[in-house]
Amino acid sequence: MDQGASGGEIEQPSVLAEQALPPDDVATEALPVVDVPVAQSVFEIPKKEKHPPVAITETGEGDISPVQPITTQRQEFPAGADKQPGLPLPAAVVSKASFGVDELIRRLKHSEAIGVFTKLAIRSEALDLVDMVGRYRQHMAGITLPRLRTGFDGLLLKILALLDNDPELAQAIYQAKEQLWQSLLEVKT
Amino acid sequence: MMRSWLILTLLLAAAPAWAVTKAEDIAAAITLRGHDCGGNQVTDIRETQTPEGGQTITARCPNGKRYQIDVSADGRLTVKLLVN
Repeated sequence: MDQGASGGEIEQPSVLAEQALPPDDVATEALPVVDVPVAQSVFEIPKKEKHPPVAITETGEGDISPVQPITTQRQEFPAGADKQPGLPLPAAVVSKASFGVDELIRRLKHSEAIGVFTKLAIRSEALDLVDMVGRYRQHMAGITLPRLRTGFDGLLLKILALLDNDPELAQAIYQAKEQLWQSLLEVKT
Repeated sequence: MMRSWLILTLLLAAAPAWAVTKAEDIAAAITLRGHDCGGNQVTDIRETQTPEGGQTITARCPNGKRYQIDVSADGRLTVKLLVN
């Protein structure tokens, strides 16, 4: 049973264009245009710098000097702290959710819980969202950040509903929701 | 003949019990693209290859609606409602 000449290989669009930032009256937050290779993934996240963050202190009039690197330490939180609004998530939860988006997409591609046509439909929906991001950057009327987010949330819910037979992947995607959203905003259209 | 059976047996053994059928797969794709299907399995599936390297599938949903699914050579999938 042949399921299509296009096969299961999912590639990214090759259309690349520099986009301007949206106008203030439309945007609630600026979209950074990061030079992310589209071929890697629609939802690629830019790699962070290796340098540790540095604390800055003011020593005089306009004189700012670095003091010492801030060491990132794992914080201990009381039980149930993650359920209280306003408190940061415990480090264990954050680290669990911060796996690679690439890995997620690879798992989705190879999941047997959904078929080839469903995967192609998901990809097409994702590409439609990327197109919307491009139109948003071009200040096109009717495309707002909340509308983009609504489209993203809708697609995510559909994917989660389809992954009934792969609950581990569904959970992983849900946990990486914000990472996926950020990488969608940062994708170069 | 024996070899064909062996391959079929291996394929069935490798596939998980919950692997989706083509009928379910196409129904899910139709729904995902925003169309009403009225169920999770389509019937009357017909497939053709396009000269451009894509694929066209027609299928009937449980609600009686017939859809055409076009898969372009670059893998973009679109769904159209066919008038009966």
